[in-house]
Amino acid sequence: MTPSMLAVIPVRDGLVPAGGDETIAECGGRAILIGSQTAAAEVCTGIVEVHLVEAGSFEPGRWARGLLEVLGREIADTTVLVVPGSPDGRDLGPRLAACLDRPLLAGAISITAERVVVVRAGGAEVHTHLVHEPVVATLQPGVRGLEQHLEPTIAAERATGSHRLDAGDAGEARDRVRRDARVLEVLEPDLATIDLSEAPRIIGGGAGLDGPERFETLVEISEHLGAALGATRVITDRGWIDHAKQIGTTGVTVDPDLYISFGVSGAVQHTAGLGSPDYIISVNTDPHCPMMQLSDLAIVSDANAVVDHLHRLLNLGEHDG
Amino acid sequence: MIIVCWRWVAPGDDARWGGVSSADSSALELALRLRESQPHHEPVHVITLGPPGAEQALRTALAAGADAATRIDAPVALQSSVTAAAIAGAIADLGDGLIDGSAGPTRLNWVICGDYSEDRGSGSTPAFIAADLDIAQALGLVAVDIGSVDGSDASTAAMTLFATRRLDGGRRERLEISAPAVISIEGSLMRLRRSSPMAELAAQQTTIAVIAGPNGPVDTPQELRAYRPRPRVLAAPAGDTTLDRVRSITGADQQNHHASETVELEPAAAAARVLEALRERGYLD
Amino acid sequence: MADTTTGTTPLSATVATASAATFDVIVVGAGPAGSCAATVLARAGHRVALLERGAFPGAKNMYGGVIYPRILDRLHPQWWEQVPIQRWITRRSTMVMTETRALTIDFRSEAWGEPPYNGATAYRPDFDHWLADQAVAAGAHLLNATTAVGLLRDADQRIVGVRTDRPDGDLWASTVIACDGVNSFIAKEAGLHEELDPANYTLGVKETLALPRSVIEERFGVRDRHGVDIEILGGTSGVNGGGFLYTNLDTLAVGAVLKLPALAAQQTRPEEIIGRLKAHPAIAPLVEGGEIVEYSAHVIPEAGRSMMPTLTTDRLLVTGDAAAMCLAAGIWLEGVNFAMASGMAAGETVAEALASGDTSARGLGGYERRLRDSFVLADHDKLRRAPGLVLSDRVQHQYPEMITGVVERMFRVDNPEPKPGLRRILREERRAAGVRIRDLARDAWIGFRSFG
Ligand SMILES: Cc1cc2nc3c(=O)[nH]c(=O)nc-3n(C[C@H](O)[C@H](O)[C@H](O)COP(=O)(O)OP(=O)(O)OC[C@H]3O[C@@H](n4cnc5c(N)ncnc54)[C@H](O)[C@@H]3O)c2cc1C
Ligand SMILES: Cc1cc2nc3c(=O)[nH]c(=O)nc-3n(C[C@H](O)[C@H](O)[C@H](O)COP(=O)(O)OP(=O)(O)OC[C@H]3O[C@@H](n4cnc5c(N)ncnc54)[C@H](O)[C@@H]3O)c2cc1C
Ligand SMILES: Nc1ncnc2c1ncn2[C@@H]1O[C@H](COP(=O)(O)O)[C@@H](O)[C@H]1O
Repeated sequence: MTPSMLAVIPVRDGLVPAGGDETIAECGGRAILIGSQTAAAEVCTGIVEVHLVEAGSFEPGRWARGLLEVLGREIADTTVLVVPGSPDGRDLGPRLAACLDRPLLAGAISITAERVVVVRAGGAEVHTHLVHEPVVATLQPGVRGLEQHLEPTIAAERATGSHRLDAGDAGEARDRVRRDARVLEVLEPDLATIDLSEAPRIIGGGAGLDGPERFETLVEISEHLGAALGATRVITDRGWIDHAKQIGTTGVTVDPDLYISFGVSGAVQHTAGLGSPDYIISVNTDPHCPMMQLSDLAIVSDANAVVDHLHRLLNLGEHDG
Repeated sequence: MIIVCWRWVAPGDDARWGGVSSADSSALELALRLRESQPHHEPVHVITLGPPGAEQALRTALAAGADAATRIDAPVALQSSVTAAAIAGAIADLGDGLIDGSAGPTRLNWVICGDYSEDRGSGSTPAFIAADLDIAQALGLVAVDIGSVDGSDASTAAMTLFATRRLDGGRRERLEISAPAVISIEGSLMRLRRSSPMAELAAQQTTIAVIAGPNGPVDTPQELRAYRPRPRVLAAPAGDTTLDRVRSITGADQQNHHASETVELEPAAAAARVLEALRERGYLD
Repeated sequence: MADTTTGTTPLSATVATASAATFDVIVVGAGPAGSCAATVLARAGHRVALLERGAFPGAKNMYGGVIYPRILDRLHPQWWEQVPIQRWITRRSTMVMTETRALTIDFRSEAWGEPPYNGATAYRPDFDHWLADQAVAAGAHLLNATTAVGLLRDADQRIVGVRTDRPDGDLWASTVIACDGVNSFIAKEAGLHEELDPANYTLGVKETLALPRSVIEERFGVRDRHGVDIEILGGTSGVNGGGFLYTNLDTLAVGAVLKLPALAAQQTRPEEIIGRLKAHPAIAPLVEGGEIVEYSAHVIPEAGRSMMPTLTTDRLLVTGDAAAMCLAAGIWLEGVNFAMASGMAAGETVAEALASGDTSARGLGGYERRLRDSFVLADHDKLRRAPGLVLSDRVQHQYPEMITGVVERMFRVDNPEPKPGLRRILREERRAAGVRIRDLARDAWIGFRSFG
């Protein structure tokens, strides 16, 4: 089997997910689009070969099994199946790997048919895996970019083939074991997060900050600067600020002009959701961390003390920290 | 029965992790609350695959209210599909007819996981467990309606959970999940309760079932290095709408070229430097 | 149902009836004192709860770095084969310094590098953890992350247990041992401590500096696991106190013990004092290139015997730093040994009292007797006036000037001038340092009585 790659893109109501185009580009333009209204899906990168699989609403177990039925041949012949690391892709990837009995390399930042590079340890380490046997991999959205901005192409216009999966058979539904959860509705972004996703200025706080009080101080600073406040997942997991304020690929994707980070290491899941700010200032004790490398102004200092000083310099209330 | 999966990581030099993640602790708290929301006592069983050091964590789980604990003796660095297969096997071995429901009241309802582990963070183990048990999955939940569990009559009614899952771009979806299912939840969902001292002492005496697990394959890379951002491929300029779209999807941007500067400053000077930079660039008067 | 914390509970709770005690004894604090007390009691077959507010014993405990574990002979024979130490102290130096001069008395004994050893440097998280493990092995019930927040009393105001900060956190016992360290909350709750006087406390500050093991061994002239303990008089930037420098395996501990009122009066930050100590010509070459990996500070009861609280009351004993049994005045830094010894004495006393069924103050009377018969109170009684002396302005400022001045003159070759007589040097240097004969004589007498 010659090494080859194929993208598997979960589509909802004709919408290609975050990282979908990058995944197709990483696979040299070969893709399967599976989901609802695949015929309407638009792709903004070159297409060489595309199969459409109309499968109804998102049910990763059924989709994975169905894919093998309708495109088993193409799939079996492919060394590396790549799924975007969007929420649906992260769910579908392992189900596909399980059906095919292949290992999964999750959260890759670069994929070829010979080697898959994944990030581990909360984004601190990079592991390179050589591909010795067929695998499934998920590609982190936002890390690759696209070489060409193409006008959106309706994938259906280039389709190599189209297929249809039953939306689950009646026999299965009667079983106690229903093999997928049912989607009731899709909620548009929270009002609480909309200000973040559209904010032109954002301040982000990370685990370098030592307590929830720092975020109270940061709220005042960001209000003064006309900025929205967000945080890394470490912080939202601690409950120091609402999870709706999590910036990153599994939180809110943002695209501000100005981003100021305090004690953020710049894990790929965070920075990939950061858009492309014109200007980035970061305060961190580690000059070598990725966030500092991405910054226009990287300040090596204790972020906690800097936050307190900023608060004082901006004359924001009495704060004896 | 509710299964909770805990991944325990030996504390090492990197103080950022070690022990059990907030997502996993949150998973146990959800299990306990689900149990408490029902009239009958549904056993909560915690499973971990890992070295003997993980047993102390299991005792914390027992002290907090878990009914039983199992450790699968195996290295924690196994591939997630292998880890999941061992866990699914251990669950299946807990009782005949547990999964298809023929065991009656003690059938399996939920397998609750964290949505990602601290050290590896693939988030894929729960999906593999679901695949191995051939049951539903609902991963990355940010809200679960505990009040809405429909399980008043455990032997007949299908248990149903309503939950919210994150999608991309800040969107979320509402899900109806029928038992049995694997769900994974974010650490922000809830915090594990503290146990009482007497419960902790009792937990120290409880025996933890240990079963043998696989030795490999281990998830070892051929090469390991520190993370540096991948240079993004840059796109040539194009029409407005496409650009906007591509930007929002990939964040790639051709205009992002600044001379960057790294300075080491005392906090007071650092704060002043931040303000100076903001003024220079017109963000502040 | 959810996060069940006890919330705001009264600090000291009164309960109507004494319920059946869950434990015989509750030991509050798993420092050296608490773990030794718990070990003795558990071995005697009693049900013991050992409460520790840290995530594990020793998690937050800091100190200078030298332990004298000989007292463990009785509790853990061959302790040296297990105890997690850094280095065995085989060189002990006492340094008297002024800004530009230093006189060192250096003693070295290879015997201290073999069993039964003398002193050792150790990290407290390691040492305290190990010591607590011994208590657990003996059968004590260790509860980490559990803070005692009050004493439980029955209708007759008798102590019947301890309230902790955990849900359903009341623990019942017929006796409580306070091993909760300096500023003991439990001793205060029991009404044993009088109003605290800051003059009785010193502040201990310490930096840990990382250096390769081979560099440390070369600079300090030791090898294997041997190490050096340097105590310093006069190196504290004019603030009354003392400095220290200890060798660990691949770190150094450098720090100072500073008299609180003097520190406040001088308005110098303790980090600066360590900074200047490190820059002193006698110290700088030893610590050069060490990367600071930790900075910590902690208050120490310094005044010794004169600030000890009442040690025993009905159903309660106070031990270790909770009872101010620490020598931390200038040239000594000993506390762990006193803590372990008093913990053991408390454990033995309570075991005896439980056997006889009387844990009232009278039943616990053996505690003070045991302490008096051991070095704990013997040393403290003898050294009763030593802290005052060592921390006095004369010893801190004038004597170092005088002594180093004398030595400098003795060893200086002033050719073509002939060497002056010692008597003349002494007189001149004493005058130059502003020392009066009368004070010198009195201090010498106190010193002789204390140390002689
Ligand atoms: C499937 C998955 C999805 C994820 N999605 C997201 C996501 O959407 N968003 C997200 O943010 N994360 C996400 N993560 C987590 C991500 O991998 C990282 O763990 C996280 O972003 C790290 O957050 P942090 O930078 O706050 O913490 P850390 O990585 O711990 O970094 C803390 C930083 O603070 C610095 N620091 C320490 N002390 C100080 C001080 N005193 N002053 C200044 N600086 C200091 C340190 O040098 C370090 O750089 C996801 C992970 C997985 C596995
Ligand atoms: C800078 C410095 C240098 C020192 N150098 C030396 C030295 O070189 N050699 C030496 O022998 N001694 C030294 N000492 C003194 C020594 O540290 C103490 O004397 C010794 O630790 C006393 O032991 P302890 O068990 O009484 O108290 P601690 O060691 O203070 O232990 C008390 C324990 O109780 C716990 N606790 C407190 N309150 C509660 C509560 N409410 N509920 C539950 N748990 C609680 C604490 O977390 C702690 O673990 C030094 C002290 C300092 C500050
Ligand atoms: N070794 C393990 N033992 C038990 N549960 C695990 C283990 N590894 C992963 N899990 C579960 O799977 C979740 C996601 O882990 P991961 O796939 O490693 O990101 C964790 O939060 C756990 O709930």
